[in-house]
This record gives sequence, C-alpha cells and structure tokens, in this order.
Amino acid sequence: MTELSPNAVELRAVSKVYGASTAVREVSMEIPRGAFVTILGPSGCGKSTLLRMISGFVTPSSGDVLIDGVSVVGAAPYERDTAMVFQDYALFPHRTVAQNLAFGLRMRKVAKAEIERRVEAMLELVNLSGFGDRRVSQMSGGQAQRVALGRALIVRPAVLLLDEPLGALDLKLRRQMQAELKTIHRDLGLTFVAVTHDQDEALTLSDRIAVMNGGALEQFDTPENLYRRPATRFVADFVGNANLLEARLGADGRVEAQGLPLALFLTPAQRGGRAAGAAVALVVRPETIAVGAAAPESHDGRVEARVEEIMFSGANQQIVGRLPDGRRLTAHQSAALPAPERGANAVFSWPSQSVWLVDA
Amino acid sequence: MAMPGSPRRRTSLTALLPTAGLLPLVLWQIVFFVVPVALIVGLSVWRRENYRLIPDFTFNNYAAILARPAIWRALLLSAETAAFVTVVCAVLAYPVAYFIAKKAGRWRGLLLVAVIAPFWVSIVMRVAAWRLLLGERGVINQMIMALGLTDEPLSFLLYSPVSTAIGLIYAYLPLYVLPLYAAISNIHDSWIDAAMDLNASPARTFFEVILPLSAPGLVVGAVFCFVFGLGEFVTPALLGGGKQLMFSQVIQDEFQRRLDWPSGAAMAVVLLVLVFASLALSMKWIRRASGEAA
Repeated sequence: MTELSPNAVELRAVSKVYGASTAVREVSMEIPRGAFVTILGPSGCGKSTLLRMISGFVTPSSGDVLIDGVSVVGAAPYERDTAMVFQDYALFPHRTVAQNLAFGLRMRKVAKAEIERRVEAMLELVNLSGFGDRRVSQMSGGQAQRVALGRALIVRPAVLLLDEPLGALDLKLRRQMQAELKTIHRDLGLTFVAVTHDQDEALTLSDRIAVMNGGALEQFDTPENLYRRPATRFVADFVGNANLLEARLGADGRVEAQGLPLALFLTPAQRGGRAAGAAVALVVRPETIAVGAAAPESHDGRVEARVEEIMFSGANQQIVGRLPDGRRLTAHQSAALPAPERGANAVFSWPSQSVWLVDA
Repeated sequence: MAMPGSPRRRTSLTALLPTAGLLPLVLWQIVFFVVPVALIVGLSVWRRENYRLIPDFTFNNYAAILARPAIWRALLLSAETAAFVTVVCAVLAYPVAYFIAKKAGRWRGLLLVAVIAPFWVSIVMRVAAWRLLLGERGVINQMIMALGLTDEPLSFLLYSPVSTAIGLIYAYLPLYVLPLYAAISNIHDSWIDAAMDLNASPARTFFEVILPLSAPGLVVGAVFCFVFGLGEFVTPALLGGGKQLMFSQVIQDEFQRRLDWPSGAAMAVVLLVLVFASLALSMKWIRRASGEAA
C-alpha cells in the first residue's frame, strides 16, 4: 500500500503562522523515495520549522504533509515513521551508547535478539564497534554525532531527518562526516532530509536542494541547476558567490548593463522567455571571470576595472576589481595564472554562455 | 632561600587568603554544630545519680533507652511519618516542579517565589493556622458537615499523627519542589523530543527518559523531607496532640520532664546516627550516579 506514491514526503502548500509572523509560507515539495534532500537557507528562513512539520513536532497552520503517500497531519511524532538526528544530538545521558541505539527498536517492540543483532550491526556501520557499553558523555563530538545518526537509522524510518547534523563539528571532522553520511545514504537507500545553513554542505551532500528565504521556497532543484541556473536573485546570491550586475534586456538578445560597455548575446534559454526591456541582473560567477593578461580574446563580456585587492589562498587567487561607477567585480582564478598589478586597470572578461539572468 | 618577601613566600600568602575567607564559616560550624554535638555525645556516656550528672564512660544509657518499648514506638512513628510525608511530598511536588520547569515560560520566576514564599512566615504561625483548618469546628469539618458528608466532625483531623503528617507535608512541599525543579530544568527538551520521535508514547517517554533523569532531584528532595521529618519537633508538638509521641518529643520529654539528660542525649545521638546514615546512603547514590555520568 505504501508503494503507491513514489514520494517519501510530499508537502502541499504548507504554511505555519505564529501570531503575526509567518514562519513558513505555502511550501510545496515532493521528495522522492531514496533521495538526499537538503533544505538550505539563512537562519530564520523557516527551514527548521519545515523539518519539524515533517517530524510532527509542529502542526502546519494550513496545507498537507504526506509520508509515503498518506497524510500525517494530526499524527503525533511517535505515530510517524520518521527519525530525527537532532542538532545537539539529544543522546539520552542516562543510557549507554548501545542503549541509545536500541531505544527506537524497543519502542517499536522489536524482539530482544533482533535488537541485539541490529545494534551490533549499527555500531559497525557508524564505526563505533566496541563502544556499545560506553556512556554517551564519554563520546567525542564526532562519535556522539555517529551515535545520534545510528540511533535514528536503526529504525529504518521512511524518512531520516537531519537538523544541522554537522553544525557542531569542526571543519575537518565535518568534511569527513559529510563523506560518511553520503556513503551511508547510498548504501542504505533511505530517504534523507537535512536542514543546513551551510551551502557547501548542501551542495556536497544533496541530490536536490530546497532553498528557502523568508519562509518561502525559492527554488527546489539539483545542486548544479541551483548554481548554474538560479531561479531568483536570492538563490544566485546565497548559493555560491556571484557578481550581480543590474541590466536591461535589449532587443535581439542583447544586454544593456547600465553604462557598461557590454556586448553580450544571450540564447533564448538564457533569456528565459523574458521580453525586451525587462529589468534583470546578470549572474556572473567569479570563477568564469579571467583578469588582465589571462583574459582570452574569445570572451565577449569585457569590462575594465581597477584592481583593488588580490587575495592569495593557495591554489587560487581572488581578485576584486572596482568598476568606474563604483560597483565591485570579484574573480577567482588559478594562482598559476599571472596576477594583475594592484591599483592598475585590468580587463575582466567572461564568455556570454556562462552568464545567467535573474529578475532584478 | 625563604627570605622575607621572596616570591615563594608571597605565593603561599596569596594562596592562604581565600582559605582565610572560609574562617567565619568554619568558626560558625565549630561553635554551633561541632561543639553542641560533642557536648551531647559526651553527655550520653555520663550517668545520673539523684538528679545529678556524674562524668563517666558508660553505654548503660543506650542499653536502657533501647530496652524501652516506648522509645521504639516513637522511633517507628517518626520513621513512618517521615516516610509517608516523603512519598506524598514527592507525588505532590513532581507535577508542580515539572510545570514550573517546563511549562511555566515567563511565569517561572514568579512561581518559584510563590513556592519559597511560605518560608517568610514563621513555621509556628503556619502550623498554628492549620489548627483553624483541622479542628473539630475548623473550616474543613464545617465544610464537610455542611455538605452532608458526615453528621459528626472528623476528630482524627487534629491532634493525631494524621494532622502531624498534614502539617509536615505542607511544610516540606517547597523543600521537595526546589531540588526537583532543578533536576527537571536540566532535562533538555530535545531528549524528550528524541524519545517521542523514536516512537515512545508520552507515558513511555515519561518513564524511560523524564523520570530517570529526575532521579537526582527525587533523591535530594527525599533526603530533605525524610531527615527533617525524622527529627521534626514543632509540628508534632503543635498538631500531634501528645497522645502518640514522635521521637523528638520523647527526647524533649526526657530532658525537660524526666530530667534525665544522659538518656535524652543518648536518644539524640541515636537520631543523629540515623540521619547521618540516610545522608551517607544518598550521598553515595548521588556520587555514583554523577560519577557514572562524568
């Protein structure tokens, strides 16, 4: 019966209103079974509320939440087939690691022998074999994170929910856990829904990313589409770095970028059905820009800017230029390329194929 | 080496300063705790001849009091009352403490003050007030009779172990609420959420997570109630009626009516040992519980 819907989770126009403020506004989303979906947005964008509506801790003011094709609005958290990895891990301090792992199975009345077997297997899966009898207070941050993950995974939920799962770890550990999380997701084939404000994490982990802003869903798409073809100015700015240049669409595919001598010709796909005269912003990713001596002739987007800052970061250099009208342009290019001179004028160039438009 | 004003000497002086700050506390403890207790313990091995105290080292007083059935009855009544009061206080205090810790929100501070407020009034006045409520023509009996539940006033309400228990429950409830409140506030909401999320019903969540994690508060509160209840004097004196005596009343009787100070002192030492034993047991439990968690 549960196989009727291909979606593990479906949100239909869910909203959550707290008094005068709207935390989540008419969000609709279909999360396919087996996908790794990340809800990404700045703090206060409603992403955690959305996650808590799936887990059942928050009841939507309107709209419907379906898990495995069945509406669960009105069902308590303990009646839902979801399991959550909490931001602070929320490990039971009075239980050992093994007892924490066994908790969900005991509540689901799984036979004792089966629980023991699955706990042992889970300890192995999350690389904690031999740690079963430890107190959770003896675990390091990374280990506690694995226990929390294991405790949720072990019940094989229809949806595994992760609330900023790696937020408390340092950068190196976070990278390592990201890789492990991805492997575990692939091996188990469960549906993962994570919440994060870290766009790198979202891009690395997810099949699909839902970008939220001010309670509304801005775009729900693959990481690549989000980056290359952002639907809104917010997405373009929030996901990755972007130079946003105000412009107006001219006739026959030309772009007039407010006083910049640009001669860009855009394809109909890039124009996205916008009529001539539409106010737009050009999205130019820093890594598509070449500077000075490195700027090839083939680049048709060319402006001259004063080199204001050059930041060297090992493999790359970040070059900040200031346009005559005061706007800034950031370029990332390989540190192997010749660096322009600080304070001098240099050509910043990019190919028009790499440009994307969003509504201004 | 140890020249005056050498760095070494100065450090030992600065290290001594905080210790010196403890001095008033130590003095207080010595004057008002160690010395009186030592006096009582000393007195308990003296003997009495013709109403005169003779210094001695004898355990006859202990043998004598432990041979008196009345002593055992009083001790049993005290222990029973203290245990009963402790259990009732735990049951009554738990929901109050839980509400204040988890549900009260911005009213928390006000409610905590309300819990402590009775301490601002003398225990004698508060206990005396219970006489007005519990007496044969007290508020409670008149209400019951007005409702037609009974024709005659309930006489056991005042001047009985029942009224002592009621008075003690009333007096000790705040002492149980406070440590429970502290323990319950330390329970993270996310632990409760995690249990629910892993399919534990609210009842299961309570017994699997909330109650075990409230244990430190339950133990500390129980120690307060039981230890104070065991030695309580004012409330049984004012409400107990004097027919069935509690242990503290028997001690007082021994000192003031029978004028047998050495026997009274021996009884006090017995009570002290019982109190220290229950304190030691609970401390051991708390140390083990927190030791495991650390």
